[in-house]
Order: sequence, then structure tokens, then C-alpha cells
Amino acid sequence: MNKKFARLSTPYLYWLYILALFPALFMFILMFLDIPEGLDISNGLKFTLENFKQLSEPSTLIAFGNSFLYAFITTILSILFGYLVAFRLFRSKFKNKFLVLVILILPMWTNILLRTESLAGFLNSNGNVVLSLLGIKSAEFDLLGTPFAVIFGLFVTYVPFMVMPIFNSLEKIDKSIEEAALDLGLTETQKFFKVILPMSSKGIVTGSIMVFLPCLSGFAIPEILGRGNIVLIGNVIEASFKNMSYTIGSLLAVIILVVILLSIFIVSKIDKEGETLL
Amino acid sequence: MAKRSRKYLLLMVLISIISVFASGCSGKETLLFLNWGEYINYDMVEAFEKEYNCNVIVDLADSNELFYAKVKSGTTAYDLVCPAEYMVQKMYMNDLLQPLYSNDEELAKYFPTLASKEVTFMDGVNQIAEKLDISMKEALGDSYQTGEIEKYYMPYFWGTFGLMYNKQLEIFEDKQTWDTKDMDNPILLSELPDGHPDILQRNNAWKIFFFDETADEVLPTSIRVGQYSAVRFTYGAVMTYLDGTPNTPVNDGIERFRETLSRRKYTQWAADELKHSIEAHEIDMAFAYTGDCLDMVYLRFLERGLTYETLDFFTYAPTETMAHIDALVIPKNARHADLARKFINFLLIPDNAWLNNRDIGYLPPLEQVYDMIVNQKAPNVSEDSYLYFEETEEEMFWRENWAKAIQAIEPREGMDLTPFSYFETEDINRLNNIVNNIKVSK
Amino acid sequence: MKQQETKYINGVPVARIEDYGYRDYSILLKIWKVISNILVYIVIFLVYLSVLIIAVKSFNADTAQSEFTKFTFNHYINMFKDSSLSYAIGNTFKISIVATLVSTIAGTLIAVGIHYLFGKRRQYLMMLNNIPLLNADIVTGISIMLIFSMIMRIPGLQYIFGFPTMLVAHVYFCLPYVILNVLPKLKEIDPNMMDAALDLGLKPHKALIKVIVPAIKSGIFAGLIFAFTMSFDDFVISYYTTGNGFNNLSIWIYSSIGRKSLKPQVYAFSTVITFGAMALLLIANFLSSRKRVKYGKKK
Repeated sequence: MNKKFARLSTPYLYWLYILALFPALFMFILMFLDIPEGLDISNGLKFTLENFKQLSEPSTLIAFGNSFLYAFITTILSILFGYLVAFRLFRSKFKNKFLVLVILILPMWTNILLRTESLAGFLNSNGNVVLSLLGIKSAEFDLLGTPFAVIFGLFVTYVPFMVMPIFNSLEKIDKSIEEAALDLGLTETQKFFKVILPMSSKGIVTGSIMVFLPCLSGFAIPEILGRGNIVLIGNVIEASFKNMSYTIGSLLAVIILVVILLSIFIVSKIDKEGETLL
Repeated sequence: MAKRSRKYLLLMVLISIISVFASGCSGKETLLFLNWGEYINYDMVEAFEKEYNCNVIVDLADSNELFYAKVKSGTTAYDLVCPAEYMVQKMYMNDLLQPLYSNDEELAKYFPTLASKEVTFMDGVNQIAEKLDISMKEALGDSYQTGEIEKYYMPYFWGTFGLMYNKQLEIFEDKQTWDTKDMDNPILLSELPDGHPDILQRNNAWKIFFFDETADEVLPTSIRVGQYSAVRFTYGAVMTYLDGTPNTPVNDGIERFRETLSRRKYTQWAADELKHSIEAHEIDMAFAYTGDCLDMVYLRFLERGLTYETLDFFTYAPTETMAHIDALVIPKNARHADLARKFINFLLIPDNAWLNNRDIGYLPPLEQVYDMIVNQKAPNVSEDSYLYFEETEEEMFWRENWAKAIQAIEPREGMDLTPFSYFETEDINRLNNIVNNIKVSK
Repeated sequence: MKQQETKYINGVPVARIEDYGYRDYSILLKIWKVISNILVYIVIFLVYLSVLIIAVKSFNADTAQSEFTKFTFNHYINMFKDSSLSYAIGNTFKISIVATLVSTIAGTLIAVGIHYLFGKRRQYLMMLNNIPLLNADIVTGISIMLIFSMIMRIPGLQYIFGFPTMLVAHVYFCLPYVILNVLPKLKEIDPNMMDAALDLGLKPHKALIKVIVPAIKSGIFAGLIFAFTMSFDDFVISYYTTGNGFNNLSIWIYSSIGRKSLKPQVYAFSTVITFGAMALLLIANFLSSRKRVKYGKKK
């Protein structure tokens, strides 16, 4: 009987093979091919290592470095503030988990580009609708184009993805364990650091991955808030595909993919069931 | 309970599937038009849809390279595409286009107003078209018949590239006089109450924009400058400044390109967003399409009641500059080529083109449309026509300022308009890398 | 040191923490509580900051949106007047609703399947299930585009790009959200319940619908909300997998954001959607909590 139900998952396995693994393999092959434009192989297939030259460009290396740095800083900030929010929500009377979830993801019902563009308008005193509405004319600031602006944009966009896993993992902590900790003489602070924090670390790890990966590969937010002055690897990949150099794009995408697969491996070790992911 | 919710679910699925399919097959012919964003007046589109009982779907792209990529990849069978002339050339060479007409008979059949010389193209358009033809000849040699490319495209809008600037800045504001030696055609522009900043005219404007130390006056570092991020254009601007042509081969120009752009840090690297930044006073100067500037200028006329004289920003096209024709072409795999031809012909009627132009800051290719705008005339139609605009005070205010603005960006006589030539993907990659290297080193 | 007042209960002095030789830090804890509360409000405010700015813009008469010129409701009144925008909005709903329904139904079935899988096979599938969730949008988008660029070469399928490709892509990245929301609920079900249903003579598929689905419906609903949100918000994957003129709202915004002006109606639409959904959910929550109080049900 159970087997019959288990069979329901089989098509999904093939679905993932076709849509997730096969294209990855395809990109892996593409990065060794010499195709001047698009997927046009009318001149025959030629193997080459020429595409790897892209990796020796200083901009590519710095873009990788910047991507990791920005993603890392955003993740740390998200852990600090995300944990705070999750913990407060968890401790509040607000026990309706569904409502918490909705409040956190509702801004996503507004398009991400629109949100980023609005933030960009806000981070500069010139042409600032909000300041103009409030009648503030004396303010003079321009944060656009700075790393701060990009990290700010990444943080406010992705911090909800940190709150949810942590909130989930906090919810799973047995109440009686907390009581036991207090009975055994721990203070509130000690209880937090010795019991609650370690027990919710699963949520922190999955949350970190949920924040780190999109920050690592995104291109729209750095493009708009960095005023085109900040080059992240997502921008280079996007430009390559836009310019029809699929081979170079694939090469860079495969590198990102390796990082992502590594993260997926970590997730599957820590959280076999993906319980804290959402 | 479960039963009811199941029924609801089924109903919802059914409704959504039906709605999807219902909208998919409304029976009307559909024209799939790949265009630039906000580069068409939807009132005109509606009129066309009504007249030919069809649907027009406008798909959008934001760079010439993307136009090419979209047509080349073949994921979509577009009926009508609107790239600039150098992409028309590349598409033609890659055999992606079909002719709009192949002989005079077809010309008369599909585009009667053009065949009967009822409409004629502006001088600038002819000038660019000629240069395009010459470069085709150079590229293809004897196998290319002179004038062949003309059968493949129809000019949609055209214009020049210029330097958009904040008029309120002291450096630009103080000396707004006309330098007659820079201007061979003073009649048209001298009617205008103010000209362009003296600093741009006295020097070679490009010198100032690229912080050339040999310029009479170098921009102070407090001036915030925006640079175009589509590298084909950036490279073109640098080479126009250095060599007088945007088409120096990449191998010859790449080192000088790097050197020129490294001179200063640019406040912003962007494409079409630059004009917004100027409009919002986030930057003071940028290299942009002159037509793009007018797009923003029109909003100032219509929404803030500013006149041409009281504008806070404008654009200046240097004497040696790049020009472009955005042209309508029909890809080879188009499914509704005939409807596309009808659409092109619709725009060859001056009244329709005039309506289309009301929303767009670029120059009309047709002389007749240009004359209508400059003379502040509207189509001569009855009140119930879609072309009818009541001559209210507001409308006349708009027409007056529209006429002034469009004259101010129309190329001056003696200006050297050079269209771009296309670069291979590999060259564009190299230029992209240079630009990225410069950005990360600042 | 300041002498503190001693408290008495029933005439017996109550020992203070200091009397045991500890310092009393409870005041710090209180300060921390206030600060952390403020921080929480700031973070939630920042998450909503962009949405609030958009709401401001939706009432601004200035198309360029660089100055608040005049307060207006016109953008709300003319919300669907721009044909290109309303076409894009229509497409967005079309794709999001169909993708959400397909992925909710399929995702629930798959989750049931996974629930009855054991051992290595289950772990393996759960790992693969994370790929659509965690993969870079741009890689996912290009992957699916590459697949369909090959399928496109099959005669008769040359016009496949558009709704079908975008639907596949959206279902692809929505499924994991549904699965991950449904699986934990499945674990909470008493395994005997299913056996009982089968013993009572229900056919397996009937048992699935009549027994399992009602028991996990809160998970299904959460998955549905997630799937809809992700599908509605997606830009990069849609951008690479669309074709033949099937533009959704994000593609429309991306292509027109740099142009003359974003039609201000889009701000009005976004405001209505976000705050409308919020109002609906708050009302629903209020009603359901009142119902619970009324019937004395407490969870």
C-alpha cells in the first residue's frame, strides 16, 4: 500500500533530472566549447579552453570576491537582526504562525525591481519623493552607488528568509526543555545562550544559506543601488548571456553552481527533511 | 466539507484553464512587435488595431544587442522588430530578415505613400542611410548591390547622441550664448531665446565630457557625470572624441579606450536610467540619446507647466556625433509579415506618425511630420476622429513648446552624423571586460 | 552603596539576589528588552520601507516621480487604462494562478509520495528538491531556456516559448515550497488514520482525498501562499523563459524602468495588491479568532 503512494514521487525525480541536472551538465559541456555566438554550432563543435581566460580578468576575480563579501556581510547582518525578530515574534503573544509568515512575505507581492528602484530614490536626497512630500529641502545626502546602499538593499530584501527558518526552529524547541533549564539554575541569559541558541542553530544555518545564495548570484539589486559602479558576479553572468556568449556565461554559472551544490549538501546533512527551510 | 472544497478547487482549475485558452485564441490576427520600452503611442496602436481588426502585442527589449539576441535565438517569432541601423546590418548579414518589398511594384502595393513620393525622408535620415549603404558595400564587396539594404528596413524614429546637462549649474548657466562659428544654420536656432552652454560650444564638447586636459576649461570635479553602460555606445563616444568616428576597430582603439575612461570615476554607469538621474538632479551631465532627453522634457511641459525657456535640463549634440535610425524590420520567421507591412504603411501616413510622435521625444523620419510639428499644426480631421485634438490653451502651449524642443535637437547643418557599425560578440566581450576592470579599480 | 528597601511578605523579609552574593542584572534585561523591541520594529519597518515609498508614489501626480507635485487618485482610477500594463498584469495573474494551482496539487501528491519513501532514496530526493529552491535564479532561468531551445527544434514545437515554457519554469521553482510546507504536516498525521480508512473500505485515492488532504490542509494552504508569492514576484526566471510576447509584470517593469517613465499606474496596482492582501488576511484572521472565542475552541 505504502509503496503505491511512494510511487507518486517518481515522476518528480525525473522532472528534476530533466530540469535541474541535465541543464547543469549541458552548461558544464558548454564551457569547454568554442561557440562565438549563442548556441550556433553550424561551424561544428570545437573544444577549447579559451573561455577560461575570462577567469584571469581582474574584474571577474574582484566580482567573485565582492559577491562573496557582500553576501557574507548581508548574511551576518541578517543573522543578527533576523534572530532578534524571530525570537521576539516567538516570545510575543503573536502565536499565529501563518500570520507571521504572511507579514514577512507580503512585501514580495510588490515587484522586486519596483521595490529596489524605490529604495534607490530614497537613498538620495535629490529627486526624493518622500522628502519632497515631507517638505524637507535642506537634507543633502547621496548614499547611492556605495557598498552601503547595496548591502542595505540586499538586507531588507532577504532578511525575511532568515526570520522564517529561525522562527520555525524556535517553535520546535520543547517547552519543557526550557523549564528544565531554568529549574537547573540557569538564568534567562544563560538559558538563551546554552539552550535556545544551540537548539535553533539549524534554523540559523538554513537561513544563512537562504540569504547567502541569492545575494551571491543576484544582479538587479547591485545594478540599481550600486549605480552600475559595483560589479558583482551576477552582473557579469547576466551581461555574458545578454551578449550571447553562452560559453563564458556557462563557465561562470557553473562556478556559482558548485557553491550552491555545496550549500545544498550542507543543508541536506544538517536538515535532512528541510524542516526549517520554510 | 472536503467534498465542497474539492469542487471549488476543480472549478477554479477549470476556470483558469478556460480563461487561459480563451485569451489565447480570440480569432484575431496578432502582430508581435519587439520594441523599445515606451517607444510607441498606444493611442496610435489602438487606432491600428481597430482599422485592421487585429491585436498588437508589444514586447520590449532595452539594447540593440538584445534585439539581435532575441531574433537570433529564435525563441520568439516576431513579426516586427525595431533595432538601430547597425543591428539591421548585422541581422541582414546573418540572414535573419526578409525584405519589406523586393521591387517597385511591391513598393507601390505595400507602401503607396512612399512610392508616390507623397512622403519623403528628412535629410539626416538620408545621410545616415547612405552611410549604412556604403558600409554594407565595404563589408560585402561586389556581391552587394547598392541600395539593397533599403528594401529591408523602414525608418521609425531617428536622432543623434548628445550630452545631457543640468542647466542650473553655474558652469553651464552663466554663458548660454550662441557661438556663430560653431553653427552654420543660425536661422532656425537663433529664433530660440537661449542656446547651449558656451563651454560646450567653445571647446569640443567631447573634450569636456572626457576630461581632456587640453580643453580650454576642464569640468570641476564636483560635477557628477554619468556614463553609458552599453559598451558599443561608450566605445563609440570615446572614438568619436579621439578619431572623429565611432567605428575604429576594437584592436586599434582598445588601449586608448581604457586610458580615456580611466581618467575619472563616473558617478553612474547606466543606460536609459541616465536621463532619469539628470531629471532628478542626481547627476549633472551624461551621454545619452538626444531623443531620450526630450522624452523627459515633454513631461516637464505637460506636467509641471515649464516652457522650453524655463527648463532645468537639456541636451547638446556635439558637431561630430553619432546618429541612429531605429528602423522597422521583419524577421525571416515572422508569422504575420503582411500585417507587419500594413503596420509600417500605417506609420507612413503623416497624420498617424504625428500622433505616434506626440508621446516620443525622437525625431520623425518623415519631412511632412516634422513640418507639422514645427508649424504647430494638427491633422485636418473631423471631431470624432482619433486624430482630433481640441485646440485648447493647454494643447497650444504643448504644441508651441514641442515645436521649439524638437527644433533644438534637430541636427544643425554641417553636423557630421555617423551611424555605428556592428561589432562581433567577441569584441563586445573585450570591451565589457575593460569597462568592468575600470569600475573595480576605482 | 544605596540602601535598598527590603520587601516583606507576611512580615518575613524577602531575600534579594544581592543577599546571595549575586549582582542583580534584571534591569539590564529590561533595557535590552526595550532596545530589542525597538530594533524589531525598525527591521520590520525597513522590510516594508520600499512598499511604503511605492504607496507614496502611487498618490503623486508627477510621472517622473522625482518630486511630490500634487496629491491624486488618478493612478488608481486609470489603473487598467494603459493597454500594455494591463496586458502584463493579466498575464501575471494567468501564470501565477495556473502555476500555483498546478504546483499545489502536484506538490501535495509528491509530498505524499515522499512521505512514504524511506532511507537513501528519500534523502536523495530531498536533496534534489533543494536545487530549485536554492539555485541561483539566473542559472535556473538559463537552464530551462536551454532545455526548451533544444525542444524548440522539434518540428511543430517552434512556438513553444511563452505561456507553456514560463509555466513549466514557475511550477519548477514553486514545487519545493509546496512540498516543504506539506511534508511536516504529513508527519503529524496519525499513521493509523490512513489504515483505518483503508480498512473501512475506502479506495486509496479516495482515502487520500477524504482523509489525508483535510488533515494537512493548513500545510497545503501555506504552500499555496508561498507558491503564489514566488510566482508573482519572480523576474529573472520569467525573463529567460518567456517568448512570443507573453510578458508578465516584472518583465514589463524591467523593460520600461529606464525609459521615459514607469507608468505611475503600476505603483497604484502594487499598493492595492500588497495592502489589499494584508487587509484581507487581517480580516480573515480576526474573523477566525472571533469564531474560536465564540465556540470556546482554543488551540
